[in-house]
Order: sequence, then structure tokens, then C-alpha cells
Amino acid sequence: MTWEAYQIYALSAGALFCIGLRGVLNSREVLRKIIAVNIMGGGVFLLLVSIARRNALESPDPVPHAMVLTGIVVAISATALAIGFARQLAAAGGGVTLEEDEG
Amino acid sequence: MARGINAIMVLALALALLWAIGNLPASGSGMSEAVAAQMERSGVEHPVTAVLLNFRGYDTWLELGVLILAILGVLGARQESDLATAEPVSRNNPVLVAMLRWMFPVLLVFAGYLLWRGKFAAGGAFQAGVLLAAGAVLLWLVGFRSVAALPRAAWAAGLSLGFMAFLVAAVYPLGRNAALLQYPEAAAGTWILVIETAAMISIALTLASLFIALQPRPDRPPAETPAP
Repeated sequence: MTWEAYQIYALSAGALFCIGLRGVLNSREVLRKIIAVNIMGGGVFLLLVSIARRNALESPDPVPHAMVLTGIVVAISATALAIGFARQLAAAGGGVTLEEDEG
Repeated sequence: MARGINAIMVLALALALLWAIGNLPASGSGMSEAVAAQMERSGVEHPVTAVLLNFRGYDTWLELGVLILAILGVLGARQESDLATAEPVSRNNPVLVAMLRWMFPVLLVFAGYLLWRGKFAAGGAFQAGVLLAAGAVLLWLVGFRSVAALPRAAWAAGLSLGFMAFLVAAVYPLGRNAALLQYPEAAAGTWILVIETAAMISIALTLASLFIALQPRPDRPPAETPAP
């Protein structure tokens, strides 16, 4: 089985997504979770632009590219909102480390 | 214990992704052909811009709504409704100020160029808006009040300008027996340029406002702690 260039990018995207997911599930610090979600998002964006380029000769599929452009702005807004909440949590004395969930 | 289960689940997902990516159909052209077939009617020449501002305009429209919600959420978490109390740390750094005097006009011109370029190549409201936001953030970092210096009404109007432009573009065709967001074909290019300009202003203003609203304000006491 030979791997095309887009598949190597797509595999990197899958790896990024899994690394981010592990970070979201296994870290207790709020800031780490926010960064991990962004790594997952990076994986999704990379997957979309890599599978948009499956036909090496033609121009890439514009629909996934447009979705990534929209997604980047949404990801920035969501990150800013999350950081705003984390900052308020810390200011309210809640700290930035979550308790380990039992079960 | 939970961590072990998490690791196994993530590993299983990784293997599933490996299998899925290995079995992707090799020659999928996706939506390219559907987009190419309609390009002439879109009003622009660049397929990504056509998808963003015409074929899937509702994506971009709702994204501008997400931006407004984000800035309202950040300000709401701080129990404020605008940037009136935001004050930059005065740095009094003449080198930064002099550099910005040279850079800021260039940023403005380049943002305008990117906006215009979106018609036929990679570029458009997003890229131009982000560049303008970077300029506004630089102004703040050098010690100017940047977008926080805008009058409240102008600031609020700027934040919602992109969303409102899309709202007009969405509702106007309904009165002419066309579908939601179906701009008149002959003038689609003009509609898109106006919407993109409005979206650029809103994106730039919102991103810069988000940055400023997230700055720590050491001179103010932290928000009142609710009684436990």
C-alpha cells in the first residue's frame, strides 16, 4: 500500500486530533484543556485542507477551504471566550485546576 | 483508572482514523465541479470567496454572529458592557511609537489590498480583518487606547456591521421572490464587495476588542467573589 501526499497530511491531522483529545480528557488545568482543544481544531483544519487536495492535478476543492477559514475565526472567538471564563474563574478564587472526576 | 480508559479510547480512535484515511477514495473531487459549474453566477472569480460569500453565505453570516457572542460573553464574564474602563499600560517607548507610525499606514493599505484581492485570488474579508485587528492590537500594546477609544455607539455599530449587512442581503431577496441570501445575479459582485467590507470591519473590531477585553487590569480589584 502506497501513501499519497494528502494521506500523509491527513494522518498527521488525525494524530494532532488524538493528541489534542488526550490532552482534553487527561489534563486538569483549564489552560491546558483550552490549548488541547485548539490542537484538536488544528487537526480538523489540516484534515479538511488535505482531503480537499486529493486530485493532485486539479485545483483544490474550495468548499473545505471556505469551511476552514470560517472555522479559524470561530476557533479564535471560542478560545477568547474560554480564556475570559478561565480568567474570571481564577479571579473569583476558583483556581484554574479542576478536581479529578470520579467515575 | 479513568486516565487508562481515556488512553485506550484515544488509541482506538487513532486506529479508526488510520483505517479511514487509508481507505479514502483516491480521486474524490468533492464539491469542486459543482462550484466550478456555478462560478459564472457567483459575482467573483475566486472559488473560495464564491463559496464563503455566496454559495454558503450563511456559514459566514452565522460566524459573524459567533464573533459578536464571543465579545459579549467575554465582557459579560467581566461584568462590563463595553471597553470604557480599559486602559493600556503606558510604555512611553519612542522606538515602538515611531515604528508604528510607519507600519500602521502600511497595514491599512495592505488590508485594503487583501480585501480587493479576494475577488480573484486568496484574500478577502477574513485576511484583511485579521490584519486590521493586528494593527489595532499593536496600537494598544504601544500605549494608545486603540478601539477602546471609539465612542460606544460607533463601537457597537462596528461590531454588528457585518452581521447586519448579511441580514440585509439575506432578507432583501425574499421580497423579490428569490431564496434567502440569493443576491440579484447581475449585481452579485457589488453585493459581495459591500458585505465583505462590512465583515472586515466587524472582524477587525471584534478580534481587537477580544484582545483588549482579555487584558488584566491590575489597578482594579478582582470581581466580587460570590459568597460560597
